[in-house]
Amino acid sequence: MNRLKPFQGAAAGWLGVVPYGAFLAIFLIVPVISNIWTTFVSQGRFSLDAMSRLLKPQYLDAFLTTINLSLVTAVLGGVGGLALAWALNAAEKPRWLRNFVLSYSAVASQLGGVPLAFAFIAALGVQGVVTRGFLDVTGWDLSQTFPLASFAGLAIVYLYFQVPLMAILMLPALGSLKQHWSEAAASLGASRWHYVRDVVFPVLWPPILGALLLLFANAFSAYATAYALAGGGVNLVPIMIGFFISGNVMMDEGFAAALVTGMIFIIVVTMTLRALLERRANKWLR
Amino acid sequence: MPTVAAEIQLSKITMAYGQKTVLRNLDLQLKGGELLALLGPSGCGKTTILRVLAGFESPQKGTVSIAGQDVTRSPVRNRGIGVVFQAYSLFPHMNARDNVAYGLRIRRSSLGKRTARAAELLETVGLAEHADKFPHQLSGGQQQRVALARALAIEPRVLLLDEPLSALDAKVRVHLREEIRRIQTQAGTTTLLVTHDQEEALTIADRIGVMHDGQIEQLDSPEAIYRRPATPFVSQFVGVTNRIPALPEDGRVRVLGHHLGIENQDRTVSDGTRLTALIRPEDLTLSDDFPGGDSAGSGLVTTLVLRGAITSVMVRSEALGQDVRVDLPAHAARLFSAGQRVLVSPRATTTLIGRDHTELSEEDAA
Amino acid sequence: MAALTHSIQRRGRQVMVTVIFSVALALFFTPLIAAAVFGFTLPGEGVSFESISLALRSTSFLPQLLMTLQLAVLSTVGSLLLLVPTLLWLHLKAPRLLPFAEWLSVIPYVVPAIALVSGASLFFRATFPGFLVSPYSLVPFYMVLSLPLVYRSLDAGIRALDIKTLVAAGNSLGATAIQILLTVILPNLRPALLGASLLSVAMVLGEYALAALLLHSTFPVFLLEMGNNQPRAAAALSFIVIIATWLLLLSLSTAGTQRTRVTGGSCRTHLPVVSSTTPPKGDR
Repeated sequence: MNRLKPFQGAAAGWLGVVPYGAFLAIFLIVPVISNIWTTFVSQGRFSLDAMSRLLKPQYLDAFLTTINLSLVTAVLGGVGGLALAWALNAAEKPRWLRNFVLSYSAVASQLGGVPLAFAFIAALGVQGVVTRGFLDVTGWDLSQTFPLASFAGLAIVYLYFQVPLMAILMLPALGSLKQHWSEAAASLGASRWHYVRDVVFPVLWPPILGALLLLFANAFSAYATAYALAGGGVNLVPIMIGFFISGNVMMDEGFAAALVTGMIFIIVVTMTLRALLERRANKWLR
Repeated sequence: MPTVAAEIQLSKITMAYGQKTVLRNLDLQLKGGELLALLGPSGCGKTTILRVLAGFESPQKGTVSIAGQDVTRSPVRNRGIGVVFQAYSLFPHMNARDNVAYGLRIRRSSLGKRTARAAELLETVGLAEHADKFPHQLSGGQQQRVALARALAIEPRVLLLDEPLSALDAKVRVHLREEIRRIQTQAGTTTLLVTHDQEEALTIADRIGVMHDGQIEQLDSPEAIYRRPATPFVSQFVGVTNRIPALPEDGRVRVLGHHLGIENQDRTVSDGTRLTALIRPEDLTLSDDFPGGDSAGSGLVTTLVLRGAITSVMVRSEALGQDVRVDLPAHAARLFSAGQRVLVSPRATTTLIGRDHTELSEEDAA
Repeated sequence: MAALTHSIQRRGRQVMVTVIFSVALALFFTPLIAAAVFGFTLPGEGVSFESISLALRSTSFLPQLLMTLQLAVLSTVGSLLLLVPTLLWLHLKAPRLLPFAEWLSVIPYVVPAIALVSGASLFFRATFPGFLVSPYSLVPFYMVLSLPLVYRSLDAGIRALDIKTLVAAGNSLGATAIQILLTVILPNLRPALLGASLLSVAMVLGEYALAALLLHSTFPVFLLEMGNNQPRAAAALSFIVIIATWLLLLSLSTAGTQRTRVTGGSCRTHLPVVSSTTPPKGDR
């Protein structure tokens, strides 16, 4: 009897997770597994054929371009976002201004997709309001210098959500820097620079790097924004996957699956690193 | 341990945050090597004094000098102060040893020297075996010990303790305050302790300044603060005080049927006004012996509250319409029981007088 | 003098803050204002609602918008029906399984929408070919995409409640399990339920990749198609969508603060939009 009880308890516990687990299994895990299966199993046999085709120049170029775009927007967005987070943290006087900027940052960090793309086309497109205004005043056509359907154009649009996302991610970490730390450091003889070098930087680099990794993954998986702006104009992995799935290019299930597997692999690596860094940061910042 | 017993002088300090003036023309001296406690309720300005002395705040007026040297305009890092904050002031990414050695690292001491000094100090605070632990692996009390060692490592001229024990458990608090006193005496560093815990101030300070509304109401030895409070505020903030209605008579007051002299003669007392005598529970006695029928001090014992060595006997006085607390040694209190009729009388022949009874109860409510 | 240097430093910092805020706001609002100007004017005519009203009269606008709203409601209700009982069960009966359930809930973070489409079409075309034909087949996938946000929001709400004590108190007063659920737990969870719902709705209203690649007509798909031949109308609609999203999420944060004011409780946790660990939804 006594032996049975813990078993019953455990079984009852698992019972409650069955609908949740089954739902995720059917609509998330099995699709992902069948994707990986399709990548590595061809005609009933294990095969690296599809994966090795990822190394062909045009596909490798897609990965490199996507990584490049993600890196650039993560780093620039990281710098801008840190500045914004610092300002949100240091702001004193009009409370409403800070709250206004914070609330819009929270929304902008989640924006993206088709509406954002059209807002930018309205501003910086060939007929865009900003482009026209600039052209009238200076004679300089911005849409020629930074065409939206280009690497630079996509980077500008991505920064629209990367900067506020970085700010939102960094705000708690900045807030957890205790005033007592800077005062203790000053009392021990440290200058402002010593304090930044010895305390602020070592404490903040794990959350900063973690946030940058998230920004990277965020840009890497963006599809709708890039598709609406550039279509096939920029050689990006998500767009290429989209073409394969919608049948715009020659149907090849195994290869589309390989592209997806490569994409998931990169994001899993990024997010795992982030989880490790976060664990480290949480130990210090409470 | 080296002894750097610097004198400290704050003169005519005025400090305001925006519209709110926290300190006005405040003077305070610390003798070399003493431990002075600033005691007061929150918002009384005690922490502001510490922050002005440390250099975290710049006063609008007045001067701060340490060891005869005017430091009013010196940045914090040049003042030679060690600070222990209320909590969470250790650098979270450094272990205990690196925290303690940080000030020496800034001073470019050699690695060997600062490691040795850190080890010595961690030994002093009883944490020698925890040198490699990080703050999140230490208990609150241990963190505060490391913070104390870190503050002392730079051999400060002044040690500032900003409510260092208030975030700790009662038991740890009692133990650690004795440790702080021992280490401070040993180091001989002039120390300013800011606290709202009267027991802490009374047990470890050489002198106590009781603060109220940005003013130091009384600056004296713990004994004097407790036995001879200079103002009603001090008597009520430090220790427990009964407020008993008193009637003035010929420059003295009539309390519980006894005539008592007035200790704080600065008050003008005219016959007929209602006053309040401030009498500590241990300055009252009980007896079950009645000289007459309607003595002003008579009442019924309502409860007995055991407090260890002493027992508080609560007596309901019909004449006063209030409870009076009488502290007796436990063995003496055993003679009384709830429901018994007793006579309360003061032990001393003088008393401290508070303001008008009604006015005081308003203040009490506020 | 010393007071002066302190205040100068502080002043300098506030000037910096103002500069950063101004630049940020200018950059934030330039595309928005441009969308409004571009969408609500016609060259040589000034302010005009001509282009948008023309677009709205298009036959596909209303059905696609209604379809999207249906999907939003169905996904949200589905998520709540799946997650609220699961989470309550876990918190009450099997708290040991909570970390596992939470780990499952963040898997969608590493599976971008585009990857989910690929996997889903591979699997379902091979097993139930008819399933993906109906637009309602998007509902479970939308539930998956919004899972990290919705799970976190509900979990935080339940944690803030201490439901074990609430259930014990209810039991001691003689209430049945159903009574406790309906009269004690759910009313107290209202802010969390509301927050989770708003996040889910906002996610579904903006989702493009799944709908487009599984060939279903939803509002974002309509918007993109319109952009090809009616850019002004598309800009006007985009402006309206962004403002509406902002208001939707703003109402979420005010709901959170009002709740905090009433109970003084720790309901900040219902605001996953501004929480540090919340990566964005996967609909870009």
